[in-house]
Amino acid sequence: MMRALVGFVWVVNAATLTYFTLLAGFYLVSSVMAFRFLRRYATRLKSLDVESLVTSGAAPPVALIVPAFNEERSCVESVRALLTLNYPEYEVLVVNDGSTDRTLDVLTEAFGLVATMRLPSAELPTQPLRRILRSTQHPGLWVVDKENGGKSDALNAGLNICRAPLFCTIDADSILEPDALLRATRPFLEDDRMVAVGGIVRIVNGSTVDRGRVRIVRLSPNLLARLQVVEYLRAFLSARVAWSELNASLIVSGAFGLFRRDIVVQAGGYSTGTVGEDMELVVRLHRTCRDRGMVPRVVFVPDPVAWTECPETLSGLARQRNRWQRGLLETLTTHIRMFGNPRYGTVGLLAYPYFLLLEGLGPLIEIAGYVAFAITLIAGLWSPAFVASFLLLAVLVGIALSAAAVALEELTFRRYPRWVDLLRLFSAAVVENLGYRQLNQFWRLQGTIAVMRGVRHWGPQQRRGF
Amino acid sequence: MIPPETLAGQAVPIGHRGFLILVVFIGLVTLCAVGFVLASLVLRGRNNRIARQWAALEARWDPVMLDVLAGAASPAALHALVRPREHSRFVEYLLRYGRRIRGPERGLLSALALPYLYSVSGDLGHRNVERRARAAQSVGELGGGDYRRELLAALDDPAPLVVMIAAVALSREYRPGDVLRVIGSVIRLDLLTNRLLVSMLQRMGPESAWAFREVLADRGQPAKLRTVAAKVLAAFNDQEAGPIAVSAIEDAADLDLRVALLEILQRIGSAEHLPVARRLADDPVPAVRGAAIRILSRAGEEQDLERLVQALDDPVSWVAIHAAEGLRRSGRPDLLARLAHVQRRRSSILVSEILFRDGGA
Repeated sequence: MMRALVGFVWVVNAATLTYFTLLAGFYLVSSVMAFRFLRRYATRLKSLDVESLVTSGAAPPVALIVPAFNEERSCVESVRALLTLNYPEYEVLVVNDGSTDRTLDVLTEAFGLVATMRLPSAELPTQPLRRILRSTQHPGLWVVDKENGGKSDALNAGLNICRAPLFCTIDADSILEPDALLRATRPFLEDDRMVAVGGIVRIVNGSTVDRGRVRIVRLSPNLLARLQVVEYLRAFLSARVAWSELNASLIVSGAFGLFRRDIVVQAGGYSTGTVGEDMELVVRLHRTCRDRGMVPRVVFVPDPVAWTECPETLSGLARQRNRWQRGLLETLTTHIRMFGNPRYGTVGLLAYPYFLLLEGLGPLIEIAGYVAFAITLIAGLWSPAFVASFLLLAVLVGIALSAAAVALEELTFRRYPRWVDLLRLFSAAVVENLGYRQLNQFWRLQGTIAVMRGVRHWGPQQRRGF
Repeated sequence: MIPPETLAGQAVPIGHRGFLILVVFIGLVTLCAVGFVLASLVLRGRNNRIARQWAALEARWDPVMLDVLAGAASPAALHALVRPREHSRFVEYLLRYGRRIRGPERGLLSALALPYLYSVSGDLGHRNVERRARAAQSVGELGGGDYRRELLAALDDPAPLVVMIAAVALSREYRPGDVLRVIGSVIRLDLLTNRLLVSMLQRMGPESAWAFREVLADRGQPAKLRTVAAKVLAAFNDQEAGPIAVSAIEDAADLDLRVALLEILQRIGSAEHLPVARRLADDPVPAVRGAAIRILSRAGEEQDLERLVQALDDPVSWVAIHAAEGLRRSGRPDLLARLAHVQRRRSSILVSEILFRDGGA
């Protein structure tokens, strides 16, 4: 019995240490890649005045598709901000996904909506449309009112009436910076193979928002929000930059992404069978394009910004992380044939194995590792070498990587101008690894279990409004 | 029962050597973490210092700069405020203005910049692509005609980014001797979209149309180049391109080129082009069919109305939308009102949409 326990603990400990080492190795490499890329990118931005070209006629029309479900508190301000973007030709398509609050009423009152018709440009299956409305004050604002079908269904309804060659998805509670669309469109002009571009999503909690614009950037006094700022910086400025450099991006955030309409429609639009529709679409785009002999480009650009509200309560955060984990696993299991498949290039050989083994199974390995670690201590099976390596790998490496992400932010965009905010970010980088990260893995493990049990819904979401 | 002392350390999947490697790894990571924190703090200090320096420079230069732009002071007055170690910063300062200023003031900016451009033009030969691009941007934006030779040489740069910046700068004004060279450089930028290339090249203005016609008529040129030339000519509404387009359509195999040729006819559309459009309005390729319908929409005659009404039921939405636009332009509100109430739902939706846009909902 004791030997079996020792054997089990040995295997789990070995797996955990390997996992930590691989994860740390990936993030170290990605931080170095990101450092090189971001420096080059900053110089490139200075040297290439594409914005003047874009505004002088090269800009392709863009449709902003904004799914809205029970967004009565923030939708008017968000839409108003979207209508004042710095972009020559765009329209805003709000899809009211069967809201049960006054979302449609407040939009109608604020923008003078009246019923009209619009010929669909695609026929993706969706829940029935009730009617299409258009603003009498802003000709570029359309609202699709439909039966509730979830976010993917709403996006597909928007895609069906979209006529622009590019469409941008944005959450109804997010705020796009005025020139975000211009900046995100640029890669489409620079590379004919581009199918999707993701911008950076930043956390708005704590900042001052006035008339749909982020006026003063500050860190939130709420610790959970600050921890998420560091997380987002690491995810976007390090990991996504590196995957983008390898042309193996599997995620374009649903909060802000720009896509080629024709390619997405050909691929079948958004999948309604998953809660991770943004990742699933990108993976499917890679798959369908490669199956047709085309090598698609999916890139992340760090300068177009969408600001979004993050959960400030443990329960809200738990639901979000649970959902993200479900979305990740659903996507990865749906397209499992891409795993290690050279037909899909770096996506199949590198990104897919990474996401499945280190991100998908990560929570399982890490939580099992903590349990095994506890057993090791209680059963007296430990040695100082093991305890030191485990704790340092689990905690110290995480601190270093988070500090690297903050450093990358300082090197490039410097959105937090106050010294106190910079120091708070560093303290959050330390605190993040002392409980928050472990808690996160626990929620994600719950998500993994939920996938096994077949849970598919989004769960309730709370919005505080700006 | 195994005595605990014999098990101690057995759950450690690393030996002595592995442990040493880990210690080194962890030491490095610790150093990295501390290094990142320190680097950020140093960076923050440096950035703040640079921001203060810029604020001081702007405070010194801005008032005189505004006077110079308003004609109330001479460039020499501003030059007197530029110290020897500030030359490259002054160029950067002017570059910021360069992006905002159009028209005659641009000449003034060049006059201000020329004595100092030497400080950045050396970078045109730098091994770093971004440095070369930045230098091309500076001399292209601020050099007036003085750096034309360097920019033409930059069209042969191995980096497409530098080629693009040089081509943008050279496209800013029309020079008969350079125009074909600039157009030819486009083929090096094969990843750029046609839209961007057209936007870039059309800045040379309609005086350069002869060169684009020459490229379009030359069947030996690559299809991408001819497509861009056709689109630029369409943007110029170039009447003389009509016959070239009609003749080229017959043997153009490339789809983008065919559509671009039809775009020319659509923009300049006249009765003589209608036979081509009528024939291609039944083309099996939707993009070609749509482009032909657009010509009929713009230049069509009474007899083409029936074809436009039929196209409302085209299986491809885009073709139907172009047809609806044509009917809207036909100035036949009675026809539109009738179509809005027909039973064919697709036609009815399209026409209702158009009537709504025109305020007739």
